[in-house]
Amino acid sequence: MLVDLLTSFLRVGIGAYGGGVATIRLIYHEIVEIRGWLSGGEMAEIVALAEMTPGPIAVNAATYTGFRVTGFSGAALATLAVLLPSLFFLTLLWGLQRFPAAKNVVVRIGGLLRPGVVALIVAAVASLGKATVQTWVSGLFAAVSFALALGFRERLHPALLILLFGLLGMALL
Amino acid sequence: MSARWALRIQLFSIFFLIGLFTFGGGYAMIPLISRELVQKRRWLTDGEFQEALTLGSSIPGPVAPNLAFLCGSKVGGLTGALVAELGCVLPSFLVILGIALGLAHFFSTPVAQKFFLGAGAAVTGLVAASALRLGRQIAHDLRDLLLVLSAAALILGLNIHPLLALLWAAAWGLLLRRRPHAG
Repeated sequence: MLVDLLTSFLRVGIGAYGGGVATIRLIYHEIVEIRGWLSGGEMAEIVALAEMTPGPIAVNAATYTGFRVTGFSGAALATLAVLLPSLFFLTLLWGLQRFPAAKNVVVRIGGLLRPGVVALIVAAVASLGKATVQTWVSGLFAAVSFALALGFRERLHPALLILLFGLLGMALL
Repeated sequence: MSARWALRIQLFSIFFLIGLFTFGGGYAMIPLISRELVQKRRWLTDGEFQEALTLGSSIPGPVAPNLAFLCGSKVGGLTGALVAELGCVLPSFLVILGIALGLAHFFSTPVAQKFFLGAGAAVTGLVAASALRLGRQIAHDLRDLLLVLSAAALILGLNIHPLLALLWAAAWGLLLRRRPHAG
């Protein structure tokens, strides 16, 4: 189980370009679809919690998913595994700092991967939607939070928005 | 205590505090890191910070810890980098662990489940908003749009691994020989 958790989150860490939101679909694929350790609804719960707590979403989600799977050992292992690929690349770049060309190559590769990152986020919307939009009320929740996030941008804090709809859910769902 | 260790402790505590008090993901940390390291302490120039930001979002991994590593390495070498990264990541690890240990039994109650149903729906809307926002940034024409949608369709329709979908989109981008959009 721990070995599976390690390899799963190493793969998540390798694909985690552009941070948290892109990792949602990777974690979903590894943990919900391949391993079957969590349901889609539990995955949405983890993302909500990761957005409401301090820190990077990818790290929060890895820690919490690992904990749900095997407790403390899972939490520590998943967190380490999701960071290891980036630490490897960062250390490599640090070693190559005398060669500015290495940085340019890395930035070019990052640029090439960007459309795929957006595709991962689009796919995450579909998978999260399937798990969380069950009634017309929750559909309305998703639509309104979408509109508010687009309309207010940074002025409306995502953590606050999620908390608000969570409380609304307690009253209406 | 040597000056080197004082610097490391300072690096660690700056990133620990930013990590502890920034809600809503790594992107919210970026302006705070800039304020502490560029404006307040002048350890990095604005140009160096922007370069680290571009590099940090061009490699795999969460952006804020990457940025912590890159800024830390400019200030205190490889040890500084690791110390900054640890400071950045440790608060989220400890907070999540605390929540998991303290509140997990409460999460299965019907009231909490209703909370998470509402919160989950809001998350779906939020993620959709970032998909649209990022999509508009990188998709300039129909070809870009098709690239994004085809990769998403591969994941959703054929259930291929998202890593392969990333490669699919990158391979087409390379084949079509367009300039990648950095930053």
